[in-house]
Amino acid sequence: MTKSLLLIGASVRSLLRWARQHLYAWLILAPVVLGISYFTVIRLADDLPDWQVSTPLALTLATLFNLSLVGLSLSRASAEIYHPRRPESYVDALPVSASAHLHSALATRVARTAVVAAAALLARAAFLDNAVVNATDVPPLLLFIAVTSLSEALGALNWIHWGHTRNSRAAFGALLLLVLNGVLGGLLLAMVLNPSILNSRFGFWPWVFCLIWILVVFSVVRLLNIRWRSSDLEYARRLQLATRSTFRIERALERRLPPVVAAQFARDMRLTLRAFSSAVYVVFAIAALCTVALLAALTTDWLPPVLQPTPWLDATWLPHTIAIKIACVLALVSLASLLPVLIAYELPHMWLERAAGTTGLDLLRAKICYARFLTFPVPLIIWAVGTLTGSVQVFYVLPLLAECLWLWWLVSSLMGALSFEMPTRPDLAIIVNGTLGLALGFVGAMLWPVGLIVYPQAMHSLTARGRQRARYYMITEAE
Amino acid sequence: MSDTLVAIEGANKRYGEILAVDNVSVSISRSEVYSLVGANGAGKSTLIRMLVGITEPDAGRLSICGEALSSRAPLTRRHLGYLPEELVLYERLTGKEYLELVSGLKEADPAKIPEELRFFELLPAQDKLVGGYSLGMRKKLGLAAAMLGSPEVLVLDEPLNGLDVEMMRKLRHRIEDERNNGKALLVASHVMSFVERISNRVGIMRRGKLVAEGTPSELRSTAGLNNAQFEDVFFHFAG
Repeated sequence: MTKSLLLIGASVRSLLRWARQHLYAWLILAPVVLGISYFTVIRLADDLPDWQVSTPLALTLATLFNLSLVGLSLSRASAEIYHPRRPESYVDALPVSASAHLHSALATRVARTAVVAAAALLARAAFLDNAVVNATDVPPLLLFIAVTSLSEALGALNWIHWGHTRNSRAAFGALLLLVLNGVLGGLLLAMVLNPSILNSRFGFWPWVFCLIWILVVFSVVRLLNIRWRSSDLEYARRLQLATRSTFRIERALERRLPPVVAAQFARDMRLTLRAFSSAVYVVFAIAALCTVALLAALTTDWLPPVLQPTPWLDATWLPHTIAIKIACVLALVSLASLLPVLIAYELPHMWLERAAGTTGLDLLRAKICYARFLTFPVPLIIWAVGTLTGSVQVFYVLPLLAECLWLWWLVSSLMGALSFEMPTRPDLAIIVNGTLGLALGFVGAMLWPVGLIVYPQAMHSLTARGRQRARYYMITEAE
Repeated sequence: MSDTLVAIEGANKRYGEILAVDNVSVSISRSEVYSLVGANGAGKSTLIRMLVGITEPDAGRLSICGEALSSRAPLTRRHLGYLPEELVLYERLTGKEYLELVSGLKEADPAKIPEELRFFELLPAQDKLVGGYSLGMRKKLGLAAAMLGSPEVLVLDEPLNGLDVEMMRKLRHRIEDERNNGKALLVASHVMSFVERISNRVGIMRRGKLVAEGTPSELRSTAGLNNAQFEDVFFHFAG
C-alpha cells in the first residue's frame, strides 16, 4: 500500500504543478465555460415540457450510460494500468507489485468517476429541481463510483488481454461480469438522479449485497491483474506505439497536397492533437463557448422575434441568421488564433525547413491549409445548431450553410495568410490578426457579396507579403 | 552463495513474424561487466527488458541472484538497478523528488540520494523540474535512480547517450568501482571503445542471436584482428 501511495502522490504532485502552470485555464476559463453551459442547460431544461420517465426506462438508460462510460474509458484506463510511454513505466523494473500498479490506476479511475458523479448531481439539480444533496444520496453515489471504476479497470484488463490472446472464455466471463456491473451501476446512478425511484424499497440488505459484490469484483480485477500483467504489459506497450504511428489525415492529405506542404501540415496537426500548448485548450474552449452562447440566444427570447413570412432575400438579415453567422465568425477567429502560437512554438526548429530547401510559399501554404482544416468543423457545427433549434426557415437552411462555409473560407484564409506577420509576438499577433479576422468576418456576415470583392484582392497581396515574411523568419530564425 | 548473479538460459521472444531474441543464453558472475553489442534491432533491448521483468519471454529461464524471475519478479527486482534506453520521467517533479520516489519504491536508504546527486553533478539542479532538464541531465538522473539502493546487478541500456566526455569518464570509473565491489553489470552500448575498456566479456548480437561471446581479446583473436579497432571486430561478427 505504501508503494501505491508513493505512486499516487507523485501523480497528484505532478497534477498540482500542472494546475499551477495553467491557473488561467481552470480558474477563469473553465468556470466561465462550465458556468455558462450550466446556466444554459438549466434554462433549456426549464423550457422543456415535463418528461416523466418510467422506472424501467430510467434504469435502462442509466445502465446504457454506465456501460458507455466503461466503453469510452477503455483506452485511458488501460494506459493508467499499463502506462506505456508514461513515467510510471519505469516502475515496472522496480520491486513494485502488480497490485500497487492496479491500486494507483484505480485511484485515478475513482477520481475521474467522481467527476461524472458530480455531473450527475448537477444534472439532477438542472432537470429534476433537486439541488439538495441529502445523506441518503451518499451511499448510492459512493457505490456508483466504486462499481463504475471497477468496471472500467475490468474492461481495460480484458480488452488488452483479448487483443493478443483471443481467449473467448475469459472474454465471455468478463462480458457477463461487466453487464451485471453495468446494471448495478445503472441502478445506483438512477437512484442518485431520482432518489424516489427505488430508495424507499432499498432496505439494509441490498446495500450489504452491493458491498459484497464490489469486493467480489475487486478480487476478480486484482486476480486478473496479477495473473495477466506480465504477459499483457508488452502488448499494451506495442499497441500504444502502433496507435501513435497511424495518422489518417496525413495520408489522405498527402495525396492532395504537395509533399512539402503535406509534411508540414501533418506535423502541425499532430502538435495540435497532442496539445503543444495550453492555448489549444483555450481556443477550443472559447469556440465551444461561442456555440453554447448561440444555443442560449436561439432558444431563449434574447433575440427579437421573427416576423413570418420573410422574403427569401431578407432571410440573410434576420436576427437569428445574423446571430448564427456572428457566432460562426467568433468561433472561427478563436480557433484560427492558434496559428501565431503554433508558429512561435515552431520558430526555434525552423532550421529544419531551411535545411530541407522549403520556400516561403510552401511555409505559408501549409499554414493556410492548417487554418482551413482546423476551423472546418466550425461552420458545420454552428449551422447544425442553428437549424436544429428551428431558428432558420426551411427554405434558408441550405443558403445558410453556404454562407457559413463562405465565412469559414474567408476568415480562415485571411488568418492563415496573416500568420507570419509577427511570429515572435504571438500575443500581439492574436490581437491584430483576430481583429482583422473579426472585421472581415462581420462584414462578410452582414454583406456576403462584399467578401467576393475583397477576397481575391486581399489574398493576392497578402500571399505575396506572407511568403516574403515566412522566408525571412525561416532564414533568420527570428534572431 | 553462487558467483553467478545473472543467468539467462535459452531465452526466446517473438513479435509476430519477427524473432526478436532467439535462444540466447548468458550468465554474468559477481565482479563482472558483460557488454551486449549489436546493431539497432539486434535484440539487445528486448533481452534486457526480459531480464528486468518488463517483457515476458516466450521460452527460457531467467534468474537474478539465484531467484527465478518468473515466479518472484517484484522481489527479484530488489537486486536490480536498471537504466532504460528511453527514460520517460515525471516532467513536473524535481530531480530530487524523482529520486525520492524511486528510493521509496526500491525501499532504499534515502540518505544516499544527495550522494548520487553529487556524483552525477545534479545538486545545483536538484530542485528544478525535470521538464527543464537537458538530455544529459535526464540520463544522469536515470543513472542515479539505477544506482540507488546499491543493487547487486546493474543493467544499463545505452548509458552514454547525451553524456559529456567528463561524465563518460566518471561513469566508466563508477562502473569499474561497482564491479570491484562485487556487483554484476550488464551494459548495452554502441560505443565500442567504451565497451572494450570496461568489459570483462562481450556478447555480440545479430538478428536476435548471440553470434559471439568472449573477452575483448578473445574476440580479437577469433576474428584474427589483433591490431585492429574493436569496431572492426564487431563488424567481423555482426556485419
